[in-house]
Amino acid sequence: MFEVELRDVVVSYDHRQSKQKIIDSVNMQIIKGEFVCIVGQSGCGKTTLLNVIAGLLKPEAGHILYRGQPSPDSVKIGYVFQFPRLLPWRTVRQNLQFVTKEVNSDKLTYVLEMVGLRGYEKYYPHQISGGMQARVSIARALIVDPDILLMDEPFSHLDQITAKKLREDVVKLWEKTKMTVIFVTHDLHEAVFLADRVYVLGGRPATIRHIENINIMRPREYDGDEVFKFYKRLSNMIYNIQS
Amino acid sequence: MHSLRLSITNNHLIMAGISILILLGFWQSISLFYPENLLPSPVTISRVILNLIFERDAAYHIYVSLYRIAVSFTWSMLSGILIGIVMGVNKVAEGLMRTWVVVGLTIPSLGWALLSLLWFGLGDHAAIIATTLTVTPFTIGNIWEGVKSVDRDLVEMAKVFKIQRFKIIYEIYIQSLLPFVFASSRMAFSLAWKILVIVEMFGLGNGVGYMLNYSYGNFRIDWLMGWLILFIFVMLFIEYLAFYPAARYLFRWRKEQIL
Repeated sequence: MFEVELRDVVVSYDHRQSKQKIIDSVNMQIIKGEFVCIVGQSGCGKTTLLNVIAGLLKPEAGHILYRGQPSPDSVKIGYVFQFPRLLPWRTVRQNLQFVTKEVNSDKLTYVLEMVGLRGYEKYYPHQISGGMQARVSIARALIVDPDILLMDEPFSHLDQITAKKLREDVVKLWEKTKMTVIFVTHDLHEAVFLADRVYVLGGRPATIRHIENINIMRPREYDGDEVFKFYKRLSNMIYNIQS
Repeated sequence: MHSLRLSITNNHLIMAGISILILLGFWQSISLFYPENLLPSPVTISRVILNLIFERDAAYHIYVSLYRIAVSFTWSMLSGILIGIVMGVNKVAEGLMRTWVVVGLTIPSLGWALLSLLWFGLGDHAAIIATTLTVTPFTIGNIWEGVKSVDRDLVEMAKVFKIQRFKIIYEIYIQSLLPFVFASSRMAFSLAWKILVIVEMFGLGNGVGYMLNYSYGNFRIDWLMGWLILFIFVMLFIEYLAFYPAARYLFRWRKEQIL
């Protein structure tokens, strides 16, 4: 059984009384514990697809199954948004408490430790850097013990050095927890570094143009030759498909 | 030296004190060139103020005015918050009320003052009703804006994490609205006082507005200025004792403190 399965999913938006198709017959089969990236140009519908998987949007046609069940409530989902979306009037600790029903102090400390935020419990979001805000947002997703972690370009607005560090940390977290990760990005290099498998989304309406398994041993080196070679090959291929 | 200067410029109270001293010096020097009955000096005015307090029942008139302000303030805040939220949430309500908010904003306070005095008689009721009617459109407008400015992204985030509805309302909607409620309460309070004096001047037999008019009728510039300054002190006192600490507490999460 797949952890998440999309069968012929179609998504449309209402646009001035006519329906506009955004995503057309997308099929995905994601196994438990996999790290999957969805790449594509900006505005092609990647976030929309992620929101459909999160259960925020209902597809026009097709099915999404979570461990064979149609309801997203049958799995626990953590979401890391493009921007951290923290409550500005709440401290780091309170932001984590916001999403959990029972508050266990040990658990909070454990999660903060995992993302490297120990000691920042009492800070307000504006008092910490963008990179740390991204870490809080990851911690908030982790504290619900997600089966599936959805990430929507969480590092795209961060500087390169911070982003590189966070990517490495996310891989370590994933290896430790063995949760399923679906990661959306427009950065192919990032996708090759992170993923077991990359889905390339493109066209209007968007369809899956290509699926690539990234057979590089872990641990991978972000600036290493292997990742770069893979990236170069995939990049050329995608460029040819798109044009 | 540098840090000393910084700590002084950052201290709100010290800066306020310095600027008051500068104004007093300026006022004192100008008053030397004019006759006392046209521009009384600060020294004279302080003597007048003491006289108002101890001989002329200043406390009573200030109490009466503050009571009217407090009641109208409470009513306009309550109705402003209620109507503002309904307008922000419900499209039909917004469509029906929007015109009336604009109409309310354009009606001069003098119009309400005179109408209320004729309708409700020369008493507390007229003063409170006129003040409430003038202030409320402003508070409605403020809260209405506030509801629309709630960050949809935060609400969406809460939905992804399957947060209960009441928690979303408390943690996101109310928290986002607080700055707007606060700003409009501060504005409502000072606006209420400006309108109230007009009503008191036209139709009431007590309160600061009445005493201002009384001073005017007796050509007493010193009394007029004395009453005004006395009341400004009361308002400043309330500002620093109630609004300022409340803002510091409520908005401690903000980068810049609002004053």
